Amino acid sequence: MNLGNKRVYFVTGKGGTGKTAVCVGLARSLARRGKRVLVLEVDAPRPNLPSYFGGKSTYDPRVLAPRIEGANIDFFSALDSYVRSVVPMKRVVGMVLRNRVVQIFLTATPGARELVVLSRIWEHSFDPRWDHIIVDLPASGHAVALFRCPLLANRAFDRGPLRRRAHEIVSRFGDPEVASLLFAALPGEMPINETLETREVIESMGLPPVGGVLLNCYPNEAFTELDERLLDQLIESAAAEGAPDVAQQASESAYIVRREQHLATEGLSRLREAFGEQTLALPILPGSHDQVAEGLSLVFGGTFGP
Amino acid sequence: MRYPGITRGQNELRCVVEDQSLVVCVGSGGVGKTTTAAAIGIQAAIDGRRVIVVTIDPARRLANSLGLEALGNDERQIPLEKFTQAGLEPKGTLHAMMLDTQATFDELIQRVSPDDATRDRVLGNRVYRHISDTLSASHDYMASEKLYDLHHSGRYDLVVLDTPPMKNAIDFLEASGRLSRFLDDKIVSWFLKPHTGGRRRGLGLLQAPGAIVYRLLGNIFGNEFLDEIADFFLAFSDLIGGFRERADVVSRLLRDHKTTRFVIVCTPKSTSMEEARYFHSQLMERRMPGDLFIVNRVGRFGATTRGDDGRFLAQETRAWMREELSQLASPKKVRSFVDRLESHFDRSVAMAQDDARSIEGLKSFGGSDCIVCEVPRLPDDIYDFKGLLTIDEHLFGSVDST
Repeated sequence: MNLGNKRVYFVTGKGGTGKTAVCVGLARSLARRGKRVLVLEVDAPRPNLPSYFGGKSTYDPRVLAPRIEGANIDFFSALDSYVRSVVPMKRVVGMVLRNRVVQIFLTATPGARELVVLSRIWEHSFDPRWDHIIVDLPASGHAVALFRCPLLANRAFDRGPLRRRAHEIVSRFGDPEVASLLFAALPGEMPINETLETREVIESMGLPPVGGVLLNCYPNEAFTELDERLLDQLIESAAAEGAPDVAQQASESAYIVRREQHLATEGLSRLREAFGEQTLALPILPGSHDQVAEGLSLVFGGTFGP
Repeated sequence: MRYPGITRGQNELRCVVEDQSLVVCVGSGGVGKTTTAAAIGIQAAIDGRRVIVVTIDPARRLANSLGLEALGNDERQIPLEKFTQAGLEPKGTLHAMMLDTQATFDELIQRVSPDDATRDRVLGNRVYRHISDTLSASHDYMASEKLYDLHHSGRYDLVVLDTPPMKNAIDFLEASGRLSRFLDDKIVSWFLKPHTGGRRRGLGLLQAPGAIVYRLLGNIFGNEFLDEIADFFLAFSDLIGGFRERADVVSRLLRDHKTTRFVIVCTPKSTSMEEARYFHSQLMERRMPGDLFIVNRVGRFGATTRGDDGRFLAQETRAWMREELSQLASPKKVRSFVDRLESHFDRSVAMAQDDARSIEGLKSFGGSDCIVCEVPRLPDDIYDFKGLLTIDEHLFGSVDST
């Protein structure tokens, strides 16, 4: 696995696959190499970063740890920034944003939200204060929707500032020198299916460039052939009459471990088929959110390019 | 309790699939929501109801679970063989579909259009095409529309709705209201006022606040975008009544305790539990019936007691195991295998005890009105019909049907 040296890393994946842990792990790993990193959450109703670093989530980047800053790009603040960037008169900006028609227009017009939020990430991506931007995207289906918006705006409108911005977003975040999309996945048939499906959709859109997949919680419980035979025997013996109850429970829990290892191994090889070398299995790590992210950051240590 | 001999949660779920006509599964991602929706649908069909399970999740997980090749916007029946192969004779029927929002939107336009000309004008509008295309990704509006459609079709006694993960499920609860506001007559007429027509920059027009806002919107989003939106509204204005009526019905339906039950799906992991609580409070705030939880992947063997030697896998059990395995490998290898088994088991028990604590926490949080159903951590990934039936055994228990 080579994560390269990109300005912007986007991270997506099915819900619950550990996207935020991966983002924080990447940030910690880069910060350890002396890089200045900005971690962004995207219009998160309940931001996850505070459970790693404490404090409150803010729209303006805030220091989370040495060389790591974080922010949540919420829609209304992003809209404020966007309107200010196209309307120079302050008094008028407030008037526009407070107008009820405008508010309803913006919350209900599909795509406006996505474009305004992406626009803010785009702005940050030029800011010299940071070497890397790590974007904790929403779950895969909605991440796809997010990137589809600038593509649609690009086709739909012949001119105007929105179309210009959409075009700028597409060319920046579609550039493989600049941006890379990483998938967080979990072992198991359905999460893997979803990862593969989303990858296909993203590739067909051409935005953002796919950088690889990180398989979280990959168990390290390989059963040798002898182990398998012993376990099979034990399950059989434990089912017989007179066997201790606990023996049956213990063999069942070992059976679950074995099944999960099988599923994980199978899942990893399916991911390898699609992502090739750009596949990384991450261990199951104990502890708090931040301890997990710290553990991941050590695994990521050797994967960045020069 | 309507059914003796099963848990309170199982009894409640049985009542839900018998009495309600809409079950909405909500919860964060990766907690088994789609699987739960499918399992509920199967049980209701077995019990004699005409059921449809609808997923609005962009992933095609439901098709996988039900053994269908794929799901589309059309309602597909789960073949009877699926049940008979498992030795079951359903008294009702089971359908499933995945919401295709583009197709649903087009159908809706057809239905609410007063005449063919209006329909063609809307369907042919460039902004409509793009807006509906974008909507395909967000799903909320059309999910509530489909809900209206299925609920009023008379084809089904029960609609089981799977929702997209967390954040968007809340969007879904509000989608019908948002649509109503979006289609507010006043807003639409604002766009249809003369100041929206020609973009004349006369002094008189500039002084009207509406005109200023309109011009600024033009600056922000481009005049062309705004003009197209205005055209879109013009084309849409004839449909507003029908739209709003339907949105209002859905909004009322979701709040009607007689027809609707929300099922909050989660796992015992702390993050998932937090989200389940959050969801519970969101539903309660909206006066929606959200007091039923299903906790998936609950660790087993939490009740295991320690042996005389203080270990879960007591000395005599380990000895028994070693004896049983002695024929298969050297004593050293057998011993190391049994040691490994013990460490797995210790972890399972510890995890199960954590799970039990977090479920207790959920129960005390929700108060006595809350009902919590548990599904244990199962050895296999659930993606086939048999697996779904296993879940049903846990969700509904077995009652004597004679």
